[in-house]
Amino acid sequence: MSLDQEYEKIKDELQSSFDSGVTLTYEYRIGQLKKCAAMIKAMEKEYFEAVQKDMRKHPAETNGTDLKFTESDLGYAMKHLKGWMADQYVKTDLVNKIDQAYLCPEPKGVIVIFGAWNYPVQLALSPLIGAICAGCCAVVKPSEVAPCASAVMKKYFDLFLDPLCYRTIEGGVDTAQALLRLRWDHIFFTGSVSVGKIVARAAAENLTPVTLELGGKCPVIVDETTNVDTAAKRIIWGKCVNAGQTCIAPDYVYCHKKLVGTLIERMKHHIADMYGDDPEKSDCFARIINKIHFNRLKSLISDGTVAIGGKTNEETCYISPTVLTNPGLDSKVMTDEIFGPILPVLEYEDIQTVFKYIRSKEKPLVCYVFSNNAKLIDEAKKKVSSGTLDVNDCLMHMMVPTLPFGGVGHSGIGKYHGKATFEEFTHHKSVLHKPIGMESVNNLRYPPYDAEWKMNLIYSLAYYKPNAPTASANGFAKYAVTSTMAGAAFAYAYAWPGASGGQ
Amino acid sequence: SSGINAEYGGTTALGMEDILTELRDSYHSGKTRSLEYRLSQLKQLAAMLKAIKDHYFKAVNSDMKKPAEEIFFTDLRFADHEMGYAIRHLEEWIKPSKVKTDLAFSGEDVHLYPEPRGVVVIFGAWNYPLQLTMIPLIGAIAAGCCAVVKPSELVPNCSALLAKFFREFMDQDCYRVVEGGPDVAEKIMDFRWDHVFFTGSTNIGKKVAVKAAQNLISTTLELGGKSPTIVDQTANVETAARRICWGKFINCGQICVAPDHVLIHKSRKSEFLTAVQKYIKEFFGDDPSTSPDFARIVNDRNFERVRGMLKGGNVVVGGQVNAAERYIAPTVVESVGYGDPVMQEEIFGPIMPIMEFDDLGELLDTLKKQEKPLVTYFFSTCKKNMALVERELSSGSLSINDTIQFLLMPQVPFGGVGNSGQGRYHGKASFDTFTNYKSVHVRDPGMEWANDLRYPPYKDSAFKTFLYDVILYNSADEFSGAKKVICKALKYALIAGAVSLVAYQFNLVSKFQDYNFGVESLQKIKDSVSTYLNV
Repeated sequence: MSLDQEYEKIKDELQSSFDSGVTLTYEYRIGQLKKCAAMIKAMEKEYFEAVQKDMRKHPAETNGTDLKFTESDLGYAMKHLKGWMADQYVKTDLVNKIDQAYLCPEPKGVIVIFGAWNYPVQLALSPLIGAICAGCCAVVKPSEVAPCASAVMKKYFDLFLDPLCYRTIEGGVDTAQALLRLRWDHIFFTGSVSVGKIVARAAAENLTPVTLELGGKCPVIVDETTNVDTAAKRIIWGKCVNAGQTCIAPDYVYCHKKLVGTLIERMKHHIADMYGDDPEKSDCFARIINKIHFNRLKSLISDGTVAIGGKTNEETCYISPTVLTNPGLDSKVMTDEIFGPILPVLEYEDIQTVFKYIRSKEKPLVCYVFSNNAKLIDEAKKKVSSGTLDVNDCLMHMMVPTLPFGGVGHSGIGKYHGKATFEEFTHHKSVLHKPIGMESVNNLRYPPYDAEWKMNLIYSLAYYKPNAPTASANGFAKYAVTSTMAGAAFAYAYAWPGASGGQ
Repeated sequence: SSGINAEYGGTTALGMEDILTELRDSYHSGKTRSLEYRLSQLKQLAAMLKAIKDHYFKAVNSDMKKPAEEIFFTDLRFADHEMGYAIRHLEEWIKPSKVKTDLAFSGEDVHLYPEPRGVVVIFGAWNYPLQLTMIPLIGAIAAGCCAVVKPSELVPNCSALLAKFFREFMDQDCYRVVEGGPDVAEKIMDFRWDHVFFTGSTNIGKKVAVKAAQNLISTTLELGGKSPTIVDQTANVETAARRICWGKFINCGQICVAPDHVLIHKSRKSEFLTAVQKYIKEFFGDDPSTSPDFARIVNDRNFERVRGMLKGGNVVVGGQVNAAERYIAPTVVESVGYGDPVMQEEIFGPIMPIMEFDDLGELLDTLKKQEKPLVTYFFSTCKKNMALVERELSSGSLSINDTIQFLLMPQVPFGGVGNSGQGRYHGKASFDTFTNYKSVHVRDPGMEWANDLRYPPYKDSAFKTFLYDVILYNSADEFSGAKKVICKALKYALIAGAVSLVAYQFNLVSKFQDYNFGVESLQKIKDSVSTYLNV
C-alpha cells in the first residue's frame, strides 16, 4: 500500500468515527482529556530521556517548558470545557425579540496537526487538547527531526488515546506531503515560514482553514529608563532556554546607546551565573538539534563582533551563549530567524529609527520592550505590529492561558492556547430560530412592494441608522435617564412631606 | 498609460504598486488610528450612501432589472443598517480588553489590544454591488485599516458609480476604488496585502486562497453553496411555503443565501406545492414577467447556465424564459434527482427543485455527504428534530422556520464553513475580521527575586516543584484531600501576609486601638495615612 492509500484509509476511519457522533458529548471529551493527563504522567521519565538524547536538554527545563506547560494548558481546558461547549446566546433587537439567536459551537471535523521538534510534546499535544475539547478527530504528526521524542510520543499516544478518533503518524517529508494531499477540515502547523507557505498553499487548494504557528525575528527594545541588570537577566534567560531554539526567543536587541556597555557586561555576568564560567560544562544548557542547524548557526557568528562566547564544538553540536555587536544589517544574522543561542545587539539614539526598522521587516511573533516609560510602551504598542507585545519580560506571556498566542502576517495565522485553541477547531454555527406563527408581522417584507409606508415601517423598525448615537452618547443618555429617575424617586421619598408614611 | 480608466473615470490596477505604497504610507502615518477619524469616515460613507441613492437605482436597473424597493432594503439600507450598528458600538470595540490572570500574574497588565491588520483589499460581487463591498468596508474602516475596494466588473454601471462617489466622499489617502475584470483582480493579488476579503464563487475563492497563501495573507472568503431547505412532516407548510418563496425569488434567486433546493416530507408534498403556487401568484401576479417586483438574470452567460438547469424533472410552476430580457419565471420543479443538472451546482437563479424524503435520519445522512452549505434552512415544529438537525448538519448558519431574515441581525456573525467559505462578518465580526488582537503582557520590572524559580542552574527541589504546581501552572488533576487544603491555606497565608505587611507598614493596629469607629476616627486614619505618605 502506498503512503497515500494508507493515510486515506486512516482518514476515512477517523471520518466515520466522527460521523458516528462519538466525540460530541462532554463525557467523551473530558474522558480523553483525563487520558491525556494520565499519559503525561506516564511518559515523563522516558520523554525526559528522549529529549536528553535529541538535544541534551536538562529534565527540569523539559519539564518546565514542555511537559508541565502542556499539563497546565490541559488543566485549564478541563476546568473550562463545559462552559466552552455551551451555546452562546446573542442579544436580539426589537423586531427579533421573539426569536432565539445563538452561536452553536460545532467541531470542524477531521483535522491534522503537524508538530515541531523544538518542544515536541507541547507543540503537538497542546493543539491536540484543543481538538479534543472541540470534538474533532485528529491525526498528529510529530517532527522527525527529533526522532527519539517522536518515538516516545507515538508509543504513548497510541497507548492512551482512543485509536478510533486520534492517530499518530511518524515520518518525514514524504509523510507530510502525502498528508497534505488529503482534504482535511483543518490543518494546524507549527514550523518555519517557508514550509508554512507550502502548507498554506496545499490547504488553499481544498479551501481548508489553517492555523500556522511560524516564527520570525522577535526584536527586543531596551530603553534607557529600564533596570539594565534585570533586563539583561531576563533576555539572556529567554535566549538560552532550549539553546535559543524557541520560536518566541528574543532574536536581536536594540539597546539605547547609553546602556549598551552595561547591558553586555550584565549579560556576561548572568550567563556565568546561570551556566558557570564554561557553559559547555553546564548540564543546564542544551545542544543544537543537528549538524545542519549547527553549521548554519556557526556561520552566523562571523556576521558581527563577538562580545561574549562564540565558542563551538561540532562533535556535540555545542554553541556557547554568544552576544554579537555591530552586526551587518544585510548579513544573515540580521535577515534570517536565528533560532540558536546567538544574540546580536544593535544600538540606537532615536527610538523612532528602531520602530522604522522593525516596521520595514516582516511582522514578528513577539515584540519585547524593556522600559519604565509608559509613553514609550504605548507607542510601541501602536507602532509595531506583532502577534504579542511582552513588556519587561521574555517568554512569560505563554504562561497566561487567557492570552491567545500566535502570529500576524509572516509570523503566522490564527491563535491558540486556552480557549483560543478550542476556537481554532470549532465552527460557531449561527442559529436563528424563529417561531412559525405571527406570520402577519412579516407581511411587510413580501412583494408586491406596493406601498411606501410599508417600506418606511420596515426601515424604522428593523434597521439601525447611521445617525445613531455613539457608545458614549448612548451611555450618557442611559446614565441621564437612570439618574433622573433615581433623583425623582429620591425627591419623592424625602422631599415630599407625608410620602414616607405620614410623619 | 496614466493608470486612469477614461471610460469609467476610475483607477485601474496599472498603478497598483503606487496605490499600495500610498495607502501604506497613510496607514503608517497613524491617521486611521483615532476614533474620531474612523467615525468621521463612517459618517462620510453614510452621507455617500444617501447621495448615491437615486443614481444607484438607475445604475442597478441598467445592469440588471430589479425593483427599487428590493434594492432599497436588501442592498442600500442594509449597508446603512450595518453602518448604524458599527457607529453605535465602535467606541466599545476599539477598547483594549483586559483578560483574567492567575495568581502568578495577578495585578499585572494583561490585555488584548485590537490592532488594525493594515492595508487590505475587498473584492465585491455583482449580485448586491453596494452591500457586498460596503459592509466589509465598514468593518475595515472601523478596524482602522486602509482599503482598496474592487467592485465586480459584471455590473459596470454600479462599479463606475461607486468609483465616482467614492472619490468625492472618502479620504483618498486611505480608501480607493479600483475597477476592472479578472486580469485586474489577478494583478491585485500579486501584491502583499495585509488581508483579503473576497465574496464570490467557490472556484474563484480557491484561486484567491491559493494566491494569498503564497504570500501568507490572511483571508475572509464569503462563498456560496447549495443551501438545503428541509420541511419535515410537523412543519407549518403554509407559512413555510410563503417564507421559502420569498427567500428563493428575491433578486431572482441570485443571492448566496437563497434556499437552493427544497427537501420535503412526502406526506406534505402536495400541500406544499399548492401553497407555493398560491404565494408565487400573490407575490408576482399571474404573469411574473409583467410584475415590477421580479428581477432579471444578470447576464447572458448566467442566463444560459440557469436555463440549462431546467432540463430534468417536471416543471410544476413557471418554466417560461425570455432570452432577450434574460427573464426566467419563478419555477418549481419536482421529481428531481441528485443526478440532474440543477443539483450539480449552486443554482443562483429562480428555480426551486423539490425532492421528497421519507425518513429525516436517512436524509441527514445523505446531506452530510454533500459539501457544507452556507445555510441550512429547517422548517419544523418538533423540538427534537430541530436539535437533531442542529447537531448533525454542519453549515455556516442554521435558520429555523425562516429564510434569509437572519442576515439582518448584526449580532449574528455571517459566513461559511468548508467550501462555503472561511471567516465571518456583519456587526462586530466585520470589525474582528480586519483586526489583529495583539496579546499584550506588561510585567513588573521589579520583584526579580520572584522569578528565581525559573532560572538555571536547575536544582532538583521538591519545594520548587510544589511552588511551580501551585502558582504557575494549572494542574490537570482535580486537587483533592491534603493537597487542596494546603493550596488553599497557602493562598490565604499569602493574602494574610500581604495584609499584615501593609498594616505593619502603616502602623495601623496601634492607631485603630485609639479610635472609636465613626466619622471622626475615619478622618484620623485618613490624616495619618496622608502624613505617612508625605513623609
